[in-house]
Amino acid sequence: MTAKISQIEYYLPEIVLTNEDLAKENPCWDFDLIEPKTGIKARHIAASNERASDLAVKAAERLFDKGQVDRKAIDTLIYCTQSPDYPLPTTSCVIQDRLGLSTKVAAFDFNLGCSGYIYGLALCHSMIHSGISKRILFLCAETYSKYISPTDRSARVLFGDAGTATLVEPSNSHQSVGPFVFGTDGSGMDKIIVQSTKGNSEDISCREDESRSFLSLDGPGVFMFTMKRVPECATDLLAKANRTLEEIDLFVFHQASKIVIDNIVRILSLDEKKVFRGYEDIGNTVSASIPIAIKQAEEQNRIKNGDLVMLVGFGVGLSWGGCLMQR
Amino acid sequence: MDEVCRIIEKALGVDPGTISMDDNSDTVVEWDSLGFLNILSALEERYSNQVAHIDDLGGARSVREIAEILKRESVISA
Repeated sequence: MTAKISQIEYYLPEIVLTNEDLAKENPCWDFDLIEPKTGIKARHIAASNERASDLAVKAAERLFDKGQVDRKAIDTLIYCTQSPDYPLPTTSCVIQDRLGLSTKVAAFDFNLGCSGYIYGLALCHSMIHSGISKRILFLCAETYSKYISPTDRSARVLFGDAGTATLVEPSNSHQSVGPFVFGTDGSGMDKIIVQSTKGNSEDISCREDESRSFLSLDGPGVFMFTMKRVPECATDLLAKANRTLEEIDLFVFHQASKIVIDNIVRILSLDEKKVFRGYEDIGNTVSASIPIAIKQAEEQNRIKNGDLVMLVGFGVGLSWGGCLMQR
Repeated sequence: MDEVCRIIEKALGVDPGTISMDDNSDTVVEWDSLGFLNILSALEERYSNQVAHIDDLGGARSVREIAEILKRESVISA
């Protein structure tokens, strides 16, 4: 029994931080140079009292509001985040209660960033294939903005906050997810790191030893990683699926930034018309970026019934993964 | 080695002939963290996908260092 993505919804926080806003705050940041490289004009930022789980819950409520599934029919809740509400308990337990899901639901978190959606889909696929689950609510949400120093030009221009909800169910048709390929290189653990934190919801000014609790981003190091591992992941995935690049109708990469995707496209010699780009108004939303991109692509008719889509997530860890999605 | 200077000039959008082997991220205003990504991208494009596997390049901070790494990895000759 294979699995399919039945529905995706997302939620973006109301506060929008544009490049103009950042330029007023930091006059020495030259957005005439920055924006052409990042491709990002604006990003949504969670309010000071807004947690990642709030974004996930709102995305899930949007999904339930569409009426395609009864929340009481959900038997599994999986939450991907690096911004948990508490060190314990598990945030998905909190979300179970907030969403009014059945108490018979299996609920757990996992901690991954930009590769998280691929790993999560693999978990969903496995739980459905094994018969453990029939209706999985897979949530991704991040508030990286709370980890970023206000003066960090490298990170602040890139990251945005968001929450997504994906309904994964058994497939009785051609629709499917898989196969999957994964990779991990912990030697790059310091390339994107937050060394300590006093909690997701605390005001940044209250933290002791601020440097350790701020996100540290080695942009060039991460860039080298993407140029090396992402094309390799795509190639490995095609080999595993016994497919060619030409058979892929749309490539949905983690929406890291324009320069990262430009280089992946160039190295793989992809047709630009087959590459989805949606970072302009929301930035890099970590594990939420791929599901948001899929949803936007479908709304723009870039993904149609029968299309074969390649999804590749990559980033903090260093961690990466790819899968095919047959619509 | 001269070619490395020319590649960096083009990547940073500075006039030809303005970058020398003695330049680094402190001497060239355009060579900030985002400018460096353009340099890495330009090197990868010029040297046909030989550069992505050279992890040390991500930490290079001068023209000379970049050239020496490329020479050591046999991407360029002396």
